[in-house]
Amino acid sequence: MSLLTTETVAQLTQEIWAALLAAEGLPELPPGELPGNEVLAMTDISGEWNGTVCLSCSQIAARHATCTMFGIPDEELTEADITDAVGELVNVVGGNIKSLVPGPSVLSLPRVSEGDEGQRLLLGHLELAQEVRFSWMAEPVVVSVWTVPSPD
Amino acid sequence: MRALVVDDSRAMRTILSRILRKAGAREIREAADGQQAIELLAVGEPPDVALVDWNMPNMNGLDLVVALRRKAEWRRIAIVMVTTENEHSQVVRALAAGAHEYLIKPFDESALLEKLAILGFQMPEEPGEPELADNFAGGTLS
Repeated sequence: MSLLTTETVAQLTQEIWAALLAAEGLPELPPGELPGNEVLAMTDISGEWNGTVCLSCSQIAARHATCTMFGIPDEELTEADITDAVGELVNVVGGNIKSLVPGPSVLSLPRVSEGDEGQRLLLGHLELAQEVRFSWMAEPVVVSVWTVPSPD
Repeated sequence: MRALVVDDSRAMRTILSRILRKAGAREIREAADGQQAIELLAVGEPPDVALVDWNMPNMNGLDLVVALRRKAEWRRIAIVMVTTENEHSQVVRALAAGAHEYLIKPFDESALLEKLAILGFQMPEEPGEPELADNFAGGTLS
């Protein structure tokens, strides 16, 4: 039985938000489109299991996360800070999801883009395996796990 | 306590440094990868403790641990791996290479403070110098 379920992804996401962003009990959101101007972060799992873990959120949520992690006010943020903080979030999410899929496998370094549909197109050949959507500080956040389709 | 934080995320280095300051660290140096850590260690006093991520560009954390254990003047540095690598085999590899403690991300502040306490670095009750054990015991797999 696979450990990669909606429940396990939701649970580890909650744990990561609690540990890194001091956010407890995030309400889940129903499926739907995210607003524009979003930030997309990805990391790949390669090995016995192959796929990509994505974290997408609004620009506002990305800025909130960055302020919390760096402990600085919004007006002091740089784009590099946001890329670094959101990249680390997807790195931690990806590392924990790696433990839910068959191994051994390795995790790539994270990559982050903003409002870039090109990155999203890279997911075009993958299948959505799991997705959780939740609200954090009244902003939507989506964690999704994409896998390489089986050949049959 | 002198500390070295090695992580390719500046956000994570900031979080770890914040906790180290609470634990009484009076000097904290930061490196973005293993190679940069080696360059930093080449100058000045070696740190008492190093917090080391695993997955980093240029030189990863496991290679850094091996390098730290090869050089006599760096062998006294207590090493805590702080990483998302949570497979048992990886934990064993890191401890076998010379890491003393292993902390899986995400972690809360108390978990890191506990690891530091195991290594003899106690959080001071009043601002000032922390207690530093002359010799810390061997690592634990936790």
